[in-house]
Amino acid sequence: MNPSCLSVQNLRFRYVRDDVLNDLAFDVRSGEILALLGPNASGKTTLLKNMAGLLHPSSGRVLMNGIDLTDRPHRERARAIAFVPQSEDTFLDFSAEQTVLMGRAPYVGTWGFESAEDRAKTREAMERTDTWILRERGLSELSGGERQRVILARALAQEAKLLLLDEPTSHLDVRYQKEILDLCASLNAERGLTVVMTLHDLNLAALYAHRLLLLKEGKVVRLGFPAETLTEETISEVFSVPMKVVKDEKSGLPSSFPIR
Amino acid sequence: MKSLTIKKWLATNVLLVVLAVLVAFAASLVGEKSLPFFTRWSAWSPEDKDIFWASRLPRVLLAAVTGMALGSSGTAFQGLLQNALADPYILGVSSGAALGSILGYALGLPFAGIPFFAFAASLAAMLLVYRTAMRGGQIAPHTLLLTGVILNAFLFAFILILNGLASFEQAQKIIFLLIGNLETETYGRIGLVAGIVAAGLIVLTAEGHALNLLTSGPETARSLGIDPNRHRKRVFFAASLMVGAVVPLAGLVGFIGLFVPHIARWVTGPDHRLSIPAAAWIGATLLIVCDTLARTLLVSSAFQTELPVGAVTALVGAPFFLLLMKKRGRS
Amino acid sequence: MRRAFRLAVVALCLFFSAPAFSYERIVSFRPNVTEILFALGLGSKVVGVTSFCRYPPEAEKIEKIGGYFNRSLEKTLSLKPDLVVMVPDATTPKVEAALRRSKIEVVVVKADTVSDVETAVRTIAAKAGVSDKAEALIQNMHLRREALLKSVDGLPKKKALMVIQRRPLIAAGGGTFLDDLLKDAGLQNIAGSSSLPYPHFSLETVIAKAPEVIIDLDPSDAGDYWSRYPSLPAVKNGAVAKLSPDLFVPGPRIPDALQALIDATRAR
Repeated sequence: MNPSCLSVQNLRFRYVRDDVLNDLAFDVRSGEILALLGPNASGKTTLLKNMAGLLHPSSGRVLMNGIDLTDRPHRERARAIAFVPQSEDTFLDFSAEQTVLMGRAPYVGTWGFESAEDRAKTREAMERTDTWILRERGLSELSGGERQRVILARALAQEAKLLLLDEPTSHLDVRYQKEILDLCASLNAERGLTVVMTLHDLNLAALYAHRLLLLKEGKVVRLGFPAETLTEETISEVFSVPMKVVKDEKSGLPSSFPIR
Repeated sequence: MKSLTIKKWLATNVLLVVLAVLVAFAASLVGEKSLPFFTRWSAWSPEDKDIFWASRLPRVLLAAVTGMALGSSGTAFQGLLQNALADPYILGVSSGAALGSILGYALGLPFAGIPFFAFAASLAAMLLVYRTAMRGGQIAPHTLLLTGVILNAFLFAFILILNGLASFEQAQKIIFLLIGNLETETYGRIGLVAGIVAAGLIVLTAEGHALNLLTSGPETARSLGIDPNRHRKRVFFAASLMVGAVVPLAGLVGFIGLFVPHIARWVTGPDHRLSIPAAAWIGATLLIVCDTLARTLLVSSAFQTELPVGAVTALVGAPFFLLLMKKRGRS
Repeated sequence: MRRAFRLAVVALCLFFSAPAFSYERIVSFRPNVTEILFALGLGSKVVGVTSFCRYPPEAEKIEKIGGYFNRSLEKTLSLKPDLVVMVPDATTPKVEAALRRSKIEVVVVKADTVSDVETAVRTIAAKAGVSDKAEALIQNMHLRREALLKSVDGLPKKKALMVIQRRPLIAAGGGTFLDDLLKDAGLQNIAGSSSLPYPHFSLETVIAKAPEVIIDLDPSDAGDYWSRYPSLPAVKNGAVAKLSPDLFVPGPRIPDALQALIDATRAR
């Protein structure tokens, strides 16, 4: 059994008055790929941001190595957890390389100048994500898939053991969806990175994630391996539509469809 | 755009400082009377010494300091608020400083206290605009600019009330403060303001890296290991301090804070670690040029009068800005 | 002969103006108008003045109708004036029209130059039926002026600058009564060639034109302002005279102003 990488304990989060997350408790295992699934407004992204330390729980805790995330200094947390947002503001047109260099922020000094080591790590991260050839292009000139890979490279440059991605496949066509998830899978396999991502697509989740966490109205409905989680009964209830689940004969992976 | 190295940082800054010094030198040559610059000081006539030492040099220095403050604080405001149209003048920060300094003068404070009075008022103006435009961690760009417009109107109303209460002579001075005027100041006052501006510039440059992260949004900045609120506060504080320092002396000089950041980023790229100090030097250079025009254009005409520098910066700045917007196709 | 001429002028004034009529409630819209009214012996009829009317001292006790440009029409009307006297500026046409609509008589007098002031005295006096007083007043002003002109006769024509405000530097330019006063004091106004009445003068121009006399009318403390420019002949020779602007009003005290100007600049 893998040790726990991140431990969510009695997590409650509310915006103004409404509970968005209600008493969640689960562990993220080191080295796994965990997908957070659920209908819109089920609290997936809010949960991910609480796990990233970007939002503070209203009550309960998120522990990493036994330390509450909110007690950790920002820089230290950023060296341990990298976060890839669904989309990002781009007021100024930084180049791809400048963007990835920002991933070294938790390591640079007061004046923010990167060392040769920071540059080497940036280059490595960009080569790993096939973005080194894009290094001098501005983010606004890149396609959605290219931009997503650059942001992923920035997260890699952070050298964090835990990678959190918010809807990494949204706005991408199927080829780029596969590309980005393949990349995550290989980083997970080669470097032992723990990956947690929110996804819309149940089939992609089943294909890439080791475990799935199903959320509805801020509560965990089920957490487990794809085959045991994605049952017709469970997902029909979670998404409030009748669903059909078919198992692939070779891999045993479930595929799900809505029923007309 | 290549990424920033210390070598590029130093080279760009040195180049721009040299340019600013050359322009300052040229501006000291130009004027109603041309000075014998290439003869030694002891051979100068007393009138020439006076023109240089008591009139032209303090003026060029005040223009430089004011341009530095407006250029670099404008760059910081644009980066922090993610808005290419943000500048201290449009957001009402300068008007806040003007109201603060008019109140300070009216209360008879010693000059050393006035920049801090102006600073308090400009910071309050900044925070008001910011708080109003902030919605759930995001700044609404139109709300930001509109709030600035409203705040400006509000502060101007206050200034006009003070103007109505003031004596005729004081009222004249208030008018000149509102138009912007860099005429003769003592070295002591310029020195005090320069010290504050230098401190602000150092803080803003040090905040450059955090500003880079903040342009990707507060969430990304946080995930990269900085506390957005702490850095925002520092930037607001330093930029308002700089504006508060120059407004009591120079008055409201518009447009420098708006278009200098664009020129700076065009020269250096978007990285604030470099664009902020670069905007300081470019702002200094351009304001020296504008003030030289202000003091020479009509002085030999039948009018024999100087122009307010704020009018020149607006005349030069507004068309330039329209051109820039058209060329870029987006703001 | 002169007397006959004067009579002719008076007759003409009487002919062209409304028939002389005794006004009992007069409002003044300018400090110099107030001074003229008092000098013509109409002081007891003045019921409204501006907050800047401080001379003669009796004027301070009269109801205020506002400041320089922010005069209150309602306050003016509430004083039930039968005559309002004003000097034209950007704000007067509207006020004038409104007063005339209320059937209140209005006299508008210019006061840019010394001769404007004389015309103003005659016009106001004719309106109020005290033209004899106007002639006596102007005669007196002429006599004093001639005596003062004699006192500076033959003195070198020194270059002079009259400063209205130091920062920014606003000077008395050509075509103003201040320019007239400088000429009468035997001084050559270095800003007199400007086509603007009150130009924003360049300090460099001042230094280059090297005035031998500076008359500083800025009411605030000059501090070390002038000593910063030691090459100015006026500074070198200690010929910077700080005078109160209160005296330099285009009214009956012009000879007093000229006297003060000559005392401060020519007597030493």
